Amino acid sequence: MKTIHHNSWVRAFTLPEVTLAIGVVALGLVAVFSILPFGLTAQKDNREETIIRYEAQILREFLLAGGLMMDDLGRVDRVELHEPLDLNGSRDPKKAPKFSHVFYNPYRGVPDNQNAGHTLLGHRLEHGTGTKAWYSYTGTPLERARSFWSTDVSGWLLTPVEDAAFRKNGNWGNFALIKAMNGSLFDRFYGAEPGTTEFHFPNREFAMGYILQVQPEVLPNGARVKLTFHWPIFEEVSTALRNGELLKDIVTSSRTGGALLKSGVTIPRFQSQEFSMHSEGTLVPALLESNLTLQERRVLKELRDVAVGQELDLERMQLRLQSYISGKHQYGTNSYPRRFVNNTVTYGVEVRFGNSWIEQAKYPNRTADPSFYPDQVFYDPAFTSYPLGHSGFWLRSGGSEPVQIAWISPDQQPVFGVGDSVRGPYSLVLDPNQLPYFNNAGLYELHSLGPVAARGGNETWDELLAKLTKVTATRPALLRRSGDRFELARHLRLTTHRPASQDERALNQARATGLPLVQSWERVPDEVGAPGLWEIVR
Amino acid sequence: MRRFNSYNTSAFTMVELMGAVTIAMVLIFLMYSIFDKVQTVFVAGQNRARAMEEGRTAMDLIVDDVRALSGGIDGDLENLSWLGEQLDPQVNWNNPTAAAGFLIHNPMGSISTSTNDFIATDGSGRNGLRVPAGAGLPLYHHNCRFFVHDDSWQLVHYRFGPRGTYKMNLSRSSASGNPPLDLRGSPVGALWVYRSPRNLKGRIKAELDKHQKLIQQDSPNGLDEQVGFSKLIDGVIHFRLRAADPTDVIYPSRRFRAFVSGVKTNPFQGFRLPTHVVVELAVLDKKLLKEVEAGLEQQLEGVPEDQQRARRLAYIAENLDRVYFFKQLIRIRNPKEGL
Repeated sequence: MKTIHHNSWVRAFTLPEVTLAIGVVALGLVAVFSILPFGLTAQKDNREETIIRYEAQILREFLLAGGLMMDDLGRVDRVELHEPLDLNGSRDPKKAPKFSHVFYNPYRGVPDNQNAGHTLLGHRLEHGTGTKAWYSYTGTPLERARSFWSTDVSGWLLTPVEDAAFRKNGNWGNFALIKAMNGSLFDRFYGAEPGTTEFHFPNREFAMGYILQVQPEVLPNGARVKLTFHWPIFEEVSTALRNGELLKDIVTSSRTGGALLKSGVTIPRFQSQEFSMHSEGTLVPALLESNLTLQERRVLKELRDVAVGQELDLERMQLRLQSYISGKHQYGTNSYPRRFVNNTVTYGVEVRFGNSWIEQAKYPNRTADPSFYPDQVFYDPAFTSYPLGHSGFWLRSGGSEPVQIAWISPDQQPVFGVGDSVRGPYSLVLDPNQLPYFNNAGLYELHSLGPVAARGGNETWDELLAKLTKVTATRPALLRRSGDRFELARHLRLTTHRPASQDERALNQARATGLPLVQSWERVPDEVGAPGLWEIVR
Repeated sequence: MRRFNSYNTSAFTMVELMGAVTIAMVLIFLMYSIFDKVQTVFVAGQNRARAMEEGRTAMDLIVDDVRALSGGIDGDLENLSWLGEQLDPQVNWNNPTAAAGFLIHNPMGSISTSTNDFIATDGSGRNGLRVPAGAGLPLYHHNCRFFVHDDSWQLVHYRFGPRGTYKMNLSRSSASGNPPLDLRGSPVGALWVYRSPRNLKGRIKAELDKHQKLIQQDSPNGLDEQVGFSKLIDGVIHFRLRAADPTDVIYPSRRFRAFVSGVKTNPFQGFRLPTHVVVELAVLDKKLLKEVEAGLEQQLEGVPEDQQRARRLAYIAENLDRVYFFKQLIRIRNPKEGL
């Protein structure tokens, strides 16, 4: 500041001086105010990073758990897989994925406009042609997809990419769009799956969400899984998804700053955080129903409450799978024998009630004292202390050839099939005339142990256990043996998204041809190109 | 700007001064309001950060304890038990097949509403909020005790209780399903923890008996001096602990629902524990806690206690961004028999 004193006049601040002073003050104020948002942003970032750290912990345990049912996985909006392993020979020479699978949260109920009453659960996209094969279901397959969404998500996200060149080349891995499980209750509340027909987070944009990228690798000494979180979910992400873009491309756009092809949108830079975990367990394809024979499925279902690695209680296992003699059927203190009638007039089960034989449908205790246990109903051996007829058991009558039960309808009617190998030929025996003649007044026996033609009897328990410890073409060993002890090696995972087994295909076909005996059979989806599920087995 | 000389010296005029002062005041007011806004946001952020930090610390301690949960003390002994069934209507021991009674982690689609839901899942809910399906968070106040094992054995007890002083025997009003008397006026409490001295396996059961006796001796209205609980975190509205296990996948909840009679309902009994435990904790930030408790005191004077509780719940529901929810899936280190 300059002040000049003169005899005749006093000079005050000049205009440039004042301007300069205001400039300095303004600069200071701007500097102060510009720091404040940084402080607030830092707070927000810290909060979000804390949430992400918690998300990483819960997802890490979830992925390592081998298929847990977790209600919070309902917050997974969609899952994407690229170049799944089971599509042999399908890999593009340029290392770009040929197929992508996109699965939507089945709770949302995205309607299939082509099939009234059906819900779209996702699609398989072929990149070369751009064609989409839709997964569209209703009824039990849809209910199953909902029930097992949680375990499906874990199985899909663990799908490894074997091709090292592809891994190096691109933004590889599996992707999921998720609303945070941890954080403020506001986010938790408004981020919940809305269960409406709208796509992509309707009215949920304010709740914290992220894109999860999972990169699983099979290592010689175990498995490595890298989790990368990308957030926040910008408006551009929702726009891109509405235009059919893939999460993989959205993440790439955010990294490179390039525009997306379909929507033309450029995604702003995400914040990203990586977590890597190493497991000594082995990353392997999960065991699905389509990998197993009817007998193996029955055994694993009876062992459902046994943990992997847990020693089998053989006595208990045999009790659950014990033979059944229809003439000795007891209910309470009374005897209610069964017989199977197969003549030109009647086909089906009859119960001796009072002094006469009546049809199963007319037996008053049929729900509490069933003859055969319907496959649709989850059988719980803890509630019943006596054996029953189940699918997968063999029915024998007198000296006739045993015939295996393929399915038991809701009205307790067994449907028989020939052949018990998933990969082998299989056909249903639907004509009563082709079934064995039920002699000895129609009484029958049911065995979970398979027939051995060479000696005209059944296999022994030892033979069954030995069989289950061996690897076959379609499945790994189901049991591990250590001396006289057996432990469970693998668990069965249920899912809608799998190929149908041979027996299910036969039933699907029979249902399609309108055969009355199988009209209550609900078609099982046959997703031949399904990506399969993966899990880490310790 | 003026120029002054010795013959005609004059200062600023009143008008100039007033103008300058007015402008200065406007500027100061603007700056203050900006500063105030920024400070409010900053303090709110700080409150959030603190609530998250406290919640995270508490959660980390719970995770450490649960991870070391161990089975095999005794085949008939519950390795983890939920106490005070009457305090938690969500755990219905007598009817475990009821959706709300699952001790196992609910499969999706089974998230049900009940009279004690914090947030109802439809428009007719107690808070009158329209919410998306599945967004309901039933309010759980769990009280559980379990054995942990690392190099020695300990009995650990986590307990939702009132904020002020710990009272073990929270008495409940006569109507079944009503909240306990100490929590009638407010849904907000604290999480308390007790850890027994470290002991050998052979002597840990005696520790359980001792703890049980102290709990029984504890006066319903007195301070809990004997049992030795300490407050882990204040401002808690939800604490829940459940079992999760992959064997539950094929037939959800069957493993534990199967044994409907007797003590086997508890999945933590016997020599094999569930593989995982899911823990949930929801905590209010300090400012919200103050608003809900002291801030509403005057407004709620003379209002019946059950209505006070509902009003406080409604207030919390309007401030969900200030309530922090933590959820962890914890793998039990040794789900087989303990050493």
